[in-house]
Amino acid sequence: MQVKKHILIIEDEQDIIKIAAFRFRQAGYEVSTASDGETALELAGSKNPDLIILDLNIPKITGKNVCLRLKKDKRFENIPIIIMTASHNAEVMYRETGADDYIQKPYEIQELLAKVQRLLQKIK
Amino acid sequence: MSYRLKLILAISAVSIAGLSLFIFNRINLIRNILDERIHRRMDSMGKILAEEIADHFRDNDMLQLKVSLDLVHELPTVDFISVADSSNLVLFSSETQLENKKNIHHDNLEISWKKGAEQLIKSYPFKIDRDRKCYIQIGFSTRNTKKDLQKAFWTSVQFGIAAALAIILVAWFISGILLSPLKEMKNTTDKIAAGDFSRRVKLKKTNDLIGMLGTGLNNMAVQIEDFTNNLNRKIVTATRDLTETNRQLLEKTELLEASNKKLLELATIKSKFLSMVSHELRTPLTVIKEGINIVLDGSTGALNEDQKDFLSTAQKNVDRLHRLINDVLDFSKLESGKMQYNMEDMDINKLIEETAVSQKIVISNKGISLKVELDDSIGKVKIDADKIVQVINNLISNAINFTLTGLITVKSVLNREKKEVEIHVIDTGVGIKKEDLPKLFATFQQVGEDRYRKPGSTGLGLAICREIILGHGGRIWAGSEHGKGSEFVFTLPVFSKNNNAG
Repeated sequence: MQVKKHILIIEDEQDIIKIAAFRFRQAGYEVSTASDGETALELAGSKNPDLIILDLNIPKITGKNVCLRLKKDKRFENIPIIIMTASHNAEVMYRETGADDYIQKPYEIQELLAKVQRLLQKIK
Repeated sequence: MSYRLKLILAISAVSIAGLSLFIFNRINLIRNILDERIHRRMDSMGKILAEEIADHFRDNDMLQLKVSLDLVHELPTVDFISVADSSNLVLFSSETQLENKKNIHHDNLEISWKKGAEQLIKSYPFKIDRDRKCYIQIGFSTRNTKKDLQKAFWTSVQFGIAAALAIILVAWFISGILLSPLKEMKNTTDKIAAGDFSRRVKLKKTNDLIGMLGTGLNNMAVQIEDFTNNLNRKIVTATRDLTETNRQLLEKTELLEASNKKLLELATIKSKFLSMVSHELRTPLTVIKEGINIVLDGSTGALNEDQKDFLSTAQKNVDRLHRLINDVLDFSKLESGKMQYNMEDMDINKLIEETAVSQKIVISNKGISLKVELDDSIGKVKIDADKIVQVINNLISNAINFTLTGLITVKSVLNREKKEVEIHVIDTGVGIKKEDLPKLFATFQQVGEDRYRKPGSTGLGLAICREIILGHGGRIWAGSEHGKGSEFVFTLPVFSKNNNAG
C-alpha cells in the first residue's frame, strides 16, 4: 500500500481545520494542523509535510511571511504551498507570497482536492 | 505781485491822478482869482490916487502931493510910484526907483504883467486942466502874491500827500472788503481739495458776481460731497459684500475640505469594512457550506429523503448567499476602480463556447434550446478571461431566467469598421419594456421591480457587467421588444492586426 501523503493545514479557525481535515483524511491523506505562524514553521520542520495549505490571516507570524520563509529555506523550497484565504483579493495576495497556487473560501472541495493532487503529482 | 497789491495800486493810481488834476485846477483857479483881485485892488487904488494927485496938482499943493505919494509908496505892495506928463517927463518919482523909471514908457496904459515877474507896472491917466494930461505910474510888488501862491501850492501838495495816504489806506480796506469773499473761497476750496468735502463758502450776498461764483463753488462742493459719499457708501457696501462672500467662501471651502476629508476617511473605512466583511462572511460560510456538503454527500452516513431535501435547500441558499457576497464585493471593487484586470490574448470564441456549454444542462432542463453562432474571422482578443466569462455567464443566466419557451442565441461578430468584437445574447423571453431599458445597467436595479423580479438575484449583475466591459474599453447595451424577447450586446476592442484577416 502506498505511503499516505502528509498535508499540513495552517489555519487559525478551528472550524475550518475541522471540516478541511475531515475531507483530506477522507480522501486518504495524513493531516497535521497548526493555528499560528510559529507552530506552522516548527511543524514544517518536524512533520516533513508533502504539501502545505496556508491561511494568510494567522497570528504571530503572518501567512505571507511563513510562505516567504519556507520558500527561501532549502529544506522546504520544494514543498508545494496552496494559499487558502477568505480575502476578496485572493489572487493579488497569493501573487505576493510566492506560493504555488491559491483557493478562495468558501471553496469547492472538489477544486481544492484537484489542486492538491496536481501539485503532488508535479513533484513526484 | 499779489492781486491785492495790484488792486490797491490801481485804486490809488486812479484816485491820486484825479486828486492831482483837482489840485492843479484848484491852484490855477486860486492864481486867477488872486490875479483878478490884485488888478481890481490896483485899479481902484490907482484911480483914487490919480484923482487925489490931480486935485493936488490943480490946487498946486505939492506938499500934500508929496505926502500922498509917500503914503502910497509906504504901502508894502507898492515898489515905486511916479508921475509923468504926456511927453514922458517925469514930474515926480519915489526917490529910490527914480533912475530906473526914466526909461519906462508911460504912454502905454495896458497892464504890463509878466508871468513870473515880481513886479506889475500900471499907469493911470489924469487931467490937471483941459490940455494937460498926465499919468501916474505905480509899480506894484507881486512878491506877496507869489508867496501866497507858493504857500497855497505847498498846502495843496501836503493835502494831496495826506489824501494819497488816506486813499491808499482806504484802498487797502476796500481791497480787503472786495477780496474777502475771494479769500474765503480760496480757503474753502483749499479745504475741499484737502478732502474736507463738507466745507462751504460763507456768503453775505449771493446776487452779485462774486456771490454767484461762491454759490457755484458751493454747488460744486455739494456735488463732490454727494458723489464722494455715494462712492464711499458703495465701496463700503461692496467691501462688506466682498468680505461676506469671502467669509462664506472660506466657510464653504472649510466645509468642502472637511467633507472631502470625511469622504476620504469613509472611502478608507469602506475599503477596510469590505475586506473585513469579506473575510468575516466567507469564513463562516465556508464552514456552513462544507458542513452541509459533507453530510449531504453521505460522508457521515446515509440520509433519508427529507434530510436530503432540507439539506439541499440549505445548500442552495448557502450558494445564493455566496453569490450575493461575491456580487456585492465585486461591484464595490469595480466601482472604486480597484479591480485589477489580468489582460491576456484569448480566443474569445472558445470562451463563449465553453461558457455556453457549462449552462447547457440548466437550459435543457428548462425545456428551451441554445444556439451558438461564432464568427471564425475573430482572432485573439486581449481580455481578462475570468471577468469576460463572468459577463457572458451573467447574460446567459438572465436569458435563461426570463425565457420560458423558445431559444437562446449566443453569437460573436467581428465589426471590422469599428475594430471591435460584438457578442450578442438573444432570447425569446418576456422582453423588457422600452421605458425600463435605460435603467437596466444601474446599480441595485431590478427592472420594473416586481415585473422581472427573480429570487436569488442581487440586482447587481448587469451593473457589474457594465463595469467590467467599460474596464475593457468596450460598450454594453440592450434592445428589446416587450413580450418577444431581448438582445444584450457588448463589444470588446480589437487591437491586433491579425483579427482583420478573413
